[in-house]
Amino acid sequence: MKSYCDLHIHHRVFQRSEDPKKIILLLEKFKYSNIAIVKEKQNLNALFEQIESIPSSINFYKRLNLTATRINDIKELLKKMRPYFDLIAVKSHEKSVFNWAIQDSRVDLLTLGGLKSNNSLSYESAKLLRQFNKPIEVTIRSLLLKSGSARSRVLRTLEKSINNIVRSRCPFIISSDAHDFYELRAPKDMISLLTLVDFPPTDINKGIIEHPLMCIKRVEARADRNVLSNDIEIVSR
Amino acid sequence: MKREKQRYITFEIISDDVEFSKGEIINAIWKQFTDLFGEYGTSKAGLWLIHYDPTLKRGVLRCSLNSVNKVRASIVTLRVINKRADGNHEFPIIFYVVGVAATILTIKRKYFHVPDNRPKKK
Repeated sequence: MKSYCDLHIHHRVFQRSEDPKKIILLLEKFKYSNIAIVKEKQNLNALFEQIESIPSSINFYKRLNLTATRINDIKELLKKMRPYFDLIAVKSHEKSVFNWAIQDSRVDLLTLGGLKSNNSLSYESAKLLRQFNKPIEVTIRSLLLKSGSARSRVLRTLEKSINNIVRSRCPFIISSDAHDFYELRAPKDMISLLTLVDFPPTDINKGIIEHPLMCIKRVEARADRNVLSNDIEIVSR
Repeated sequence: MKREKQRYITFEIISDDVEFSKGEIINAIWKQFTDLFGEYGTSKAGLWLIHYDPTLKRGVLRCSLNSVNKVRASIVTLRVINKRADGNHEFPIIFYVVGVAATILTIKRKYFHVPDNRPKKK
């Protein structure tokens, strides 16, 4: 059975709903097996206690999105926040910060802008992502919320970024970036939406299965005391 | 001219306790498709809502073979449906594509659990 992953669902989706069980049932219906919930202002611990009390086949992870315009700011934030979250993503319009975050082992993934961003991913950054085997995240929220000429601009920017992702063969992740219950989408529906930007159909499934699982394996290896680093595991002491 | 090949897309609407009519759904899908692909693209898609079950909130859309991905993409971007009876109020929904098949018989068997009563060949 395929394990679909959505590594970008906001805490707000659960906060606004009266019953988190309804959301978990919907995610199970969509056949997700791994979900990462993004922290906003509130602590995620209370939400995770609630989720753990509901029996489900989905694994939940804590995620934090960091935004900064200077390298020193990102370094400080990473030092403070790294021990408390399973996944840390960095989003920045500054090329120097973006390229530095790719090379830092404490950063799990990079995010490709957001609702307001008109910047596309450059080929140099994409090659650096491939070199450090770090995934870039592509979200569908801006395609859902915008319309008319704004959406056509988003599609154009996304197409340029995806061109560079495909040329450089760097890993990528597709996620919903849902802030609301009605912004959640099934994995195959997200894939069909990205076919509008000429994503090659042979590779697109990797963004929802293979590459997110690679991120999750790193998270689990970090938590495992027997794993020292990539592919090095203590068999017996 | 050869007959155009078609595909049948089974979808499900996830919403609060609101019932939508067949007309409201096809209007919403058609408007969204026209917004994304224009009038020319919509004419090429051959879209039609064949069946909709309000209790299951499941329906079947017919479209041409070449436009299956476009129809799926436009369905996914639908976020609200207008209900004219309630004063043109917009209700938020999630459109979920359950499956795609080439024949109505497959759709009935797989997604609407209609038993296959055809006599078996010896």
